[in-house]
Amino acid sequence: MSANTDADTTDAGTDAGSDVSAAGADVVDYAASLPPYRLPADAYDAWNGSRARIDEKRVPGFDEDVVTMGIEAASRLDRDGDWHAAIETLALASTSWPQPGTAASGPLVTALGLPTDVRAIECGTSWRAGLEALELAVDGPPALAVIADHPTADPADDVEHLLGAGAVAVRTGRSDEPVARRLDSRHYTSAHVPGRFVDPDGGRVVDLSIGQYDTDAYAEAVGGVVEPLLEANGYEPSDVAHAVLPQEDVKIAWRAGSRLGFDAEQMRAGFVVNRAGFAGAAASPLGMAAAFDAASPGDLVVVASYGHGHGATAVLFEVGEGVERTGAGVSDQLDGGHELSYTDYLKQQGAI
Amino acid sequence: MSRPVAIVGAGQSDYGDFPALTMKDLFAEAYDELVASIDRGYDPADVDAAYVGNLGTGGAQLGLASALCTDYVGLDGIPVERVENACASGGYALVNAVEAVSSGERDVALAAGVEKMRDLSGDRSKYWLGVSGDTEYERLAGMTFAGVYAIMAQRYLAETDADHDHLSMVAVKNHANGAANPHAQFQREIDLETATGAPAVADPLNLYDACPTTDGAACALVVPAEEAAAYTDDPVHVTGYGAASDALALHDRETITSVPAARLAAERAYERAGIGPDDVDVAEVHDCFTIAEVLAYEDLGFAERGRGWELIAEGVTARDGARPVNTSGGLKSKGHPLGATGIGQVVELFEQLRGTAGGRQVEATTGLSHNVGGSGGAATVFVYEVGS
Amino acid sequence: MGAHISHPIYQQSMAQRLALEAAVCTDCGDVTFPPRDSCPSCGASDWEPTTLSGEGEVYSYTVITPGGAPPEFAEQAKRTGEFAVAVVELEEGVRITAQLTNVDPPDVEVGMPVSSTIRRLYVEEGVVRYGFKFEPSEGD
Repeated sequence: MSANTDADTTDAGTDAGSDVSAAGADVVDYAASLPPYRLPADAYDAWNGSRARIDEKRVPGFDEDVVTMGIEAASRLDRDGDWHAAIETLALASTSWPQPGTAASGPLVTALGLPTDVRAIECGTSWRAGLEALELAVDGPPALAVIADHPTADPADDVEHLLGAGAVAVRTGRSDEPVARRLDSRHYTSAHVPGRFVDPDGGRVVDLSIGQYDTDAYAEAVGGVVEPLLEANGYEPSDVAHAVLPQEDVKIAWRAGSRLGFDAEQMRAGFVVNRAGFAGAAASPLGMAAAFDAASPGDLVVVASYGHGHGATAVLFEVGEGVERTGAGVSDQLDGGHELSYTDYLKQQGAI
Repeated sequence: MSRPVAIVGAGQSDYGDFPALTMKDLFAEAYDELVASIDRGYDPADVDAAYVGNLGTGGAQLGLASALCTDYVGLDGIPVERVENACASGGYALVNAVEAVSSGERDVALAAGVEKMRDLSGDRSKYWLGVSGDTEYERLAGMTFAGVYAIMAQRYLAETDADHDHLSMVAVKNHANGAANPHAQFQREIDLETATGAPAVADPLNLYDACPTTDGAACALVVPAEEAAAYTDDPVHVTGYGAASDALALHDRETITSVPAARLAAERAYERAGIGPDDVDVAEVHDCFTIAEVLAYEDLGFAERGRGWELIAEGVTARDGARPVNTSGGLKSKGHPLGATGIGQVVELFEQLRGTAGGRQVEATTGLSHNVGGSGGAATVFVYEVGS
Repeated sequence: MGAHISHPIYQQSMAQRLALEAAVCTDCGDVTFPPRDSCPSCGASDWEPTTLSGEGEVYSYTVITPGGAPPEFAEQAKRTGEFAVAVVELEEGVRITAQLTNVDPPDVEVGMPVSSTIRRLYVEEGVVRYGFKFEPSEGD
């Protein structure tokens, strides 16, 4: 099992894109799993209306957590070929581990039939963790990235209206007909007083709501990766078919997208927060899955994630022929599910 | 059997809800009733073995419950054993007593059972009720004891022409019988509407499909038939018995619309006794849930597979029917103190066959008891006859 | 405390709980789940592991009311109400008992096609226990 070190990026700004692609880090399959329960925005009429600016969100059942959701997503990958036994790296990401202090990769390895000598890496302190795991999988194929998250907050807090859950699985390997090939990535990390964080006591998201400060932070970090990513590879925003931006705030995300030069058409497919809610570390990966579902071979897809404290990562994909033979069915899943009443939701979450 | 055996005395405590009574108190009450039932009296010093059925509900005395009880009533120094096969503990206590005497090893054996269930908090009670199924896969699926029988009922209702009303009729019949039993936990009749309309417990079974939890004890005295005259002119002969077992989990069984262990035990009992189902005049069967009684009719050969429900529909098993079943009120109305139930059945048949059943009396010379553990992991069937 | 499966014993069943690993008898080919030392059909004690597909149908079921749930599931029942438990007949011919999930209990029927899914069963002494449940199959 070798980490792919030879063709990696050196400094941001040098034309390292083509070297990375030559390393052949392909997405060969991907899948998503949305939890079964739908909570419509009008559920929040109990709080004088939803502050989230979304139509609905998806929430897990009492017997689900990020481990079960992750297994579910990975189980939806195409089972053809004996690939499970050949996985060399398992990269997980979440910010809501069900049993802190233990290896969530344990149950995943056994449930998915992965080899016990797999290199298992678990990422997750910020909502950028999803792309951190994805990078690991893309860097070191054959690999499996499983990103599952379920951020929660106090029911009395506005931020809670937005929080949902979901899981994405991405299998990487070398292929002549990949789903997508990573062309390049850019990263940005710098100390920054966070406007949102998770309270260690209850595991709940706290939103300090610092207004313009939050917007500026997002723009600085996300802009600081998306713009150089495109420039360094000789692309204009208009060349991008699908742009998936971090969606933890609907207004901020749309504004930032627009300032970066993306229009509604480009952002539409990946904007899953509107019907799934914000799934933390799995949010941008879910948007990416939805974008791949809508994409055609040759399309460029940009996926970005933001982590408070803070940092951002943006990945540039070129979609391949493989996208025609597989899909995550995000749209179908969004159309499914069972509607939950707000009281049942609160009971299920243990809030009442 | 190498030498025939007979039952010369049988007695039980009241069955019901007795917060102030301990296992020892209940046992003593049953034992006193036993002694009173022996026509010519007896010398306790003659008892040379005791087998006490007890699950140990509540955990008050998991070890040596047998000696705790027998010592309490003055049966000093004898070999004793707690027999545990869940709700078939009593039946198996009788198997032990019958085989001990029949083999010649023992001359006077006490078969008894006792259970204390009503002193537990709700949560503890649920724990103890779930111990006789397959713990790993049935219990950890969220299954309750009622759930297991409900799954059997669901399949039975899907496979046959029976509907839930037929199950409720069993409860109505047994309550009518229990109303005439001074020992019964519930001594009141119920109507079909009450039985069918009761709150759900585990679909398709409702509260009135389920037997209660009960405090109670029962004892019976087994001696060689040739020695019976020393005790009574009217012994009840045990002419046949069978005991069997099966997989605990429903998913491991050949079928779930029959209890194979009960069926096997019945075959063995009929063969030993040299009789068939049609020869049985009165029976005490294990109606822990109403469906269990319907399945019992089929497993005992009173009806063909899939047609047991017709017997209850047509009143065949009512007290005034052709083959009365559970004249005592059954587990549903008389009660179900787990370890005692199998022996309690003996008490009823002892009275029925000797003509001392008072308001519950039916005409009978051949009786049968059917006792099942859990959902059918173990079972016993006994055939009793008088006048032979 | 009544019926209780300890942590070491639960660990022994992990391959069954998470991966539906069954045993196929090398003599007669019958599948047993969970695996046993000797084949219940032919008595031979030589077997190979095999992974079940998880596809099957409801052989029978019940709906457990919240008040009656075993203590391990009391919290679940309190929060989410009644739940269905089924004996599922898997396509390999074996049956197993498991909870049903992602389904409204009144919608459950004998014969309903179901597929396995891994879920949280319950928490024992602070440790999450994962295992299989069944949910209605998608399509076909």
